[in-house]
Amino acid sequence: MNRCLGERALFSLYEGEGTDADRTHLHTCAGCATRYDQLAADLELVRRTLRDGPMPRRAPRSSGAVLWMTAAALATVALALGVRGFERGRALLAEDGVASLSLGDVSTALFAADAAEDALSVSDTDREVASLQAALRGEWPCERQDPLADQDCD
Amino acid sequence: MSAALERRTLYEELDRAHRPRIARLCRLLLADPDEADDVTQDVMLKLLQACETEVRQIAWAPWLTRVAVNACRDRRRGAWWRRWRLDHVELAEDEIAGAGPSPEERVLGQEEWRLLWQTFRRLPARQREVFVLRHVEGCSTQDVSEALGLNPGSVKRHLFRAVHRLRGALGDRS
Repeated sequence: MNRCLGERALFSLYEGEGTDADRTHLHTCAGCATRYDQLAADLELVRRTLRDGPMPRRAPRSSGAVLWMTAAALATVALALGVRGFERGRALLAEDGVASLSLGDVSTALFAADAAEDALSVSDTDREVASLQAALRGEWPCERQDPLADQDCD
Repeated sequence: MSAALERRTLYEELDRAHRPRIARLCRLLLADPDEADDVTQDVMLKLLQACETEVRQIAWAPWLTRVAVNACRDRRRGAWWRRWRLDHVELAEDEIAGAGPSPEERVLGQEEWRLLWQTFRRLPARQREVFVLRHVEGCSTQDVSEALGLNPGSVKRHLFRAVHRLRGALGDRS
């Protein structure tokens, strides 16, 4: 078997490890020997650059990028809070047994309340008119008309 | 010689012998010269305290390496906002710390040099630590694993990944 060495195998050899077969191959394969030398040269260059060379200073992010990132972060937080609030509201409704309320249900309930109020107000008006007419005739309407009044009223 | 004087002498010898190495280690791990100076000072202060109080025999070189690595980790965690603000590396030529192009810059070319530093700074912290200790400071794999609390297999994996990325920054130079 005479396959050339992979990057990992070459690096293992550089680190003083690797198998005897790999080491033997390295000594007999000109291509792998060249790649090995290149690896060693690259690492030496990186080492000298980092250890002895000047260090570049960090440049701050542009203020535009900072603003965009901050705005995105705030929007994400607002969205998360909104979703959380919505979920919490749903949970409260579910606890009250009205979790299945839809807009239609709300509408029906609202109009039903209005109709009941109307009916009540009509009924009150009729009663008031009757009382007024009776008073004009010099009578008083029997309080029996009031369903809550005493049934024995004359 | 009194015990206090012996300790003081020990500290001064250790400071003289190790401060440059610790300063370089902190500069590379933090990739920020200003923060590195602060952390180096903190590490040396811990060394002074240890010299005054420690009664056991200590291998000071690996002890200092561990303390420096941990101090740099703490600093990275603590100043995340500052690091995030400064993490956008735009290495303008006039922002190079130091005067004039180094031999490495002349060999690499300004753009490659810039790319190499950028890649180095963007390495994951663990890969950066392993690479610096193994290939810049010249520690053995065993020493690196002890300093970082990793097993040797993990050290080798992180090291290989770091080398792969850094070589990628150099491009095809053959």
